[in-house]
Amino acid sequence: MKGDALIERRQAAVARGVANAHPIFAERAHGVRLRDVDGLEYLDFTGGIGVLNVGHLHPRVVAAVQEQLARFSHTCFQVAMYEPYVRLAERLNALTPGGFAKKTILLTTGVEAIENAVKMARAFTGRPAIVAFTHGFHGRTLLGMSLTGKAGVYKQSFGPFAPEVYHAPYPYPYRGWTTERALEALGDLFRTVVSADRVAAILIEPVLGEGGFVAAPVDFLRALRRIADERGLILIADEIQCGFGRTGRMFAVEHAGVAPDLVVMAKSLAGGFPLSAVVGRAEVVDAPAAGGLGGTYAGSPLACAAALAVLDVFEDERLLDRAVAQGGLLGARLEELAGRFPRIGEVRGLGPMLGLEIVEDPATRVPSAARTRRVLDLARERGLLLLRSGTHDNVIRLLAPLIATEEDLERGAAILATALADALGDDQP
Amino acid sequence: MTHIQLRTAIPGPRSLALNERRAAAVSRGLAQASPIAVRRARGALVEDVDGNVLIDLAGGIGVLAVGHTAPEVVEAVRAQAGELVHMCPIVANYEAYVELAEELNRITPGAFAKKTILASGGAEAVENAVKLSRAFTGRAGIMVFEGAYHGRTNLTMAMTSKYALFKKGFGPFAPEVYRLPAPNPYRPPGGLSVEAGLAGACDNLDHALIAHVDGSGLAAVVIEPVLGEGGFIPVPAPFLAKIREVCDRTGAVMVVDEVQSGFGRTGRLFAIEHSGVVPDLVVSAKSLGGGMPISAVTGRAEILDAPHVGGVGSTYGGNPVACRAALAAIGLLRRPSMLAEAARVEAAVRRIFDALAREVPAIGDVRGLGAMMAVEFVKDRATKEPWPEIVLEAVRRAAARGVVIIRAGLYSNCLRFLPPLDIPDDVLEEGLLAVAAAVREAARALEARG
Repeated sequence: MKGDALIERRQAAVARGVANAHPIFAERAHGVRLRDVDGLEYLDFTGGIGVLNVGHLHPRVVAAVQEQLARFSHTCFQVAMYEPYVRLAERLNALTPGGFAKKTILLTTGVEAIENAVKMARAFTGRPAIVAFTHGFHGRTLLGMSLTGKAGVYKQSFGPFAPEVYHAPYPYPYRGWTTERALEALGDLFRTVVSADRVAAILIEPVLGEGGFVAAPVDFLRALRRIADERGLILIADEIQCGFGRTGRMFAVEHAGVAPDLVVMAKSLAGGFPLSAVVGRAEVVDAPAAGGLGGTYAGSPLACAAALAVLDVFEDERLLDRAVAQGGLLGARLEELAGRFPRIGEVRGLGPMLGLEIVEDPATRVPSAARTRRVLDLARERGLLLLRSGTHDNVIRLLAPLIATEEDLERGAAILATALADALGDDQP
Repeated sequence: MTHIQLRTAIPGPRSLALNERRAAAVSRGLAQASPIAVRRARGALVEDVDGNVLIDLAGGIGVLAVGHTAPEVVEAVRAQAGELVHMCPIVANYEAYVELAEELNRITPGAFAKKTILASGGAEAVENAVKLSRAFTGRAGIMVFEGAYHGRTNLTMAMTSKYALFKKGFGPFAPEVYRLPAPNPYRPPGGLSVEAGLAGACDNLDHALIAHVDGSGLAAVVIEPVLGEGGFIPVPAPFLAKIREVCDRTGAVMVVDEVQSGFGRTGRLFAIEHSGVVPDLVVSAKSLGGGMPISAVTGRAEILDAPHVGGVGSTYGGNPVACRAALAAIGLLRRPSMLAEAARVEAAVRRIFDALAREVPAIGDVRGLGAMMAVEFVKDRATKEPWPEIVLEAVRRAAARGVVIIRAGLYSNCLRFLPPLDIPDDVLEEGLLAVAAAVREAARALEARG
């Protein structure tokens, strides 16, 4: 097998700390389908961790990139600008929630955008502290790790971490954190640990990504908006995983009718090309002095061309409607499966951003990372690539491209059902 | 034949129109070195949206050692974009990532077993080097140097030494970062000779192991072999050797940040090779990708393997298209003739600006290595008082004459040249002479203003 030889080469040449959910070597991919170097075909419901809401190699994205490639691929925007960057900024300003004047900065990666949102919030407010939430994931730079609310995998041995970062509990009703309790805890944090008038920003994923696809209740997000207004701090929505149609709206926060001051985006923004953005209130995005922000690669021309094509695809192929339909279809299938398998502790999510929390026993709710891992392996052997997430690594998450057909989705759901049957079905609790 | 072709004033009407849209839509926190908007680019030439052709001596801040849209790189990108654009190495593997890792393991200095991790930006790679060093040593302290630039994330801002431009308003910063002066042959402290300044800097390293952090707390020493944003100051080989000795003595990891100085820029594949010192980790980016966003940490296998599984990696890191671009760029840069081209750039810069220095007293120093050259400007050659205003003025006037060029330096008082290594002689000559004319003009204009 060609794949086995390549695995050996990987082990010899690449840092072992880079995890590998599926020990296969991809050769080519198109839409929802991926073929490995040994000719095996898979349905890809990972999107390379939520990057491919328009699917692999969307023809319009590829064509836009090829066209840009013939002209130029890099100038560094701060050295010499280019129109696609500005056009993308204009479109993102119009696309994000909020009727106020907005501006944008483009960067390369999600965590780089998070770092920039923090810089803007600190420069704008003159305050140091950032409040983030337990189970949140905001990246793997030192500050990104500091903001992240999952210690085991992401943080061990890499500290000490950045100062003035505080965590409040994310509302996670299945694990006992109702909206009410979470808001009380946030109030306590302000009373006992950091005074709200020293807080520059509250940073939240409207739907937890790596934290297990828990959607913050509408009331919670509205309360954060109110607190931010009352205390003069910046509300930052991290829409890196939940944005770009993943929840059936362009941005997940729209479900709550809340307009954050800053929206951070990456992943599915550019159809597979490395690009991220911070979009929000003009006066906040403009707060840093000229030269205070930047990045050599930031807003790569090829990635801008790709992102503009992605936005066209959303409009022309009605991807948000398709996302809602995908959420309906997969949601129904997952509910059926939960009825069959008691070890599915909870089916949850928002639109097609759906997760299954796997437990040993529905009464005790003890998480089962091992069974979750087994579901992923079995599904792969049967031709479906899935990912897990969650602080206990026990949530199966669905990140199917929004262009997936009903047939693709039914096939994926059927494979998932057989994998669940074999991994959860024996010795029913 | 001249290569610069100006059809309008710089910026032309279309560039100006885009500037207005930019001001309305894009953060003002981004600097703007030249006012043009680019339509297409090839080699060392850039055409703007008004049809003006300019010579590019900035290379998108040192990213284009192989020039704009090198055909080999374009073809590699085009082919990969037809097969697989994104996978995320954490989800599933692809050969391009492994191939690039193997290539980097081969071409970086050191005969020991090596491994690589790929990321997307230079700062992200520096962050990874710190993670690897901390996981490997179990210690926290990171030693860096004045004049250093390592990026704009919170940790890399902490490691970067220029406050007003890069850090102001963005703190508090990451802890356990210790900063020492680096030897600067143009500005030895306290009127010392160059040799005494260097000896002092070496002694200071030993002193720091008592005064700042000792071996039990030191995870890594991170240095750019040629300071980049700091003003293209080649770090003297004895200082690099001293760092190696300190790291050997304490068990700390020696990390060289070759983001700007690597990939042929100085006439060797990595600038550290000039010193003969072998670092434990090499951080690379910029010209590695031939214009695509990619970065890497390469080094001792046991250090790369120190973090637990899942502890490192990222969604975009080592994008398949960028890996193929990097392999193509490395293929070009490994041609011995290509590396030899860098010396030609150094010779031309020295010839033109050493001559200009006899005419323009504001030129304090002409320095650098290979195709990484800078000119430092001062108000007075004796006091060496920095003169950043003349540089701003020269950059503006160079653009008006059809050359894209950028600044550098802790005091923002240097012009830096980062052309493609294989820039044709006549293009280089035309571009440098236009910059020289812009400098002459800027000096006259500022002196007239008093």
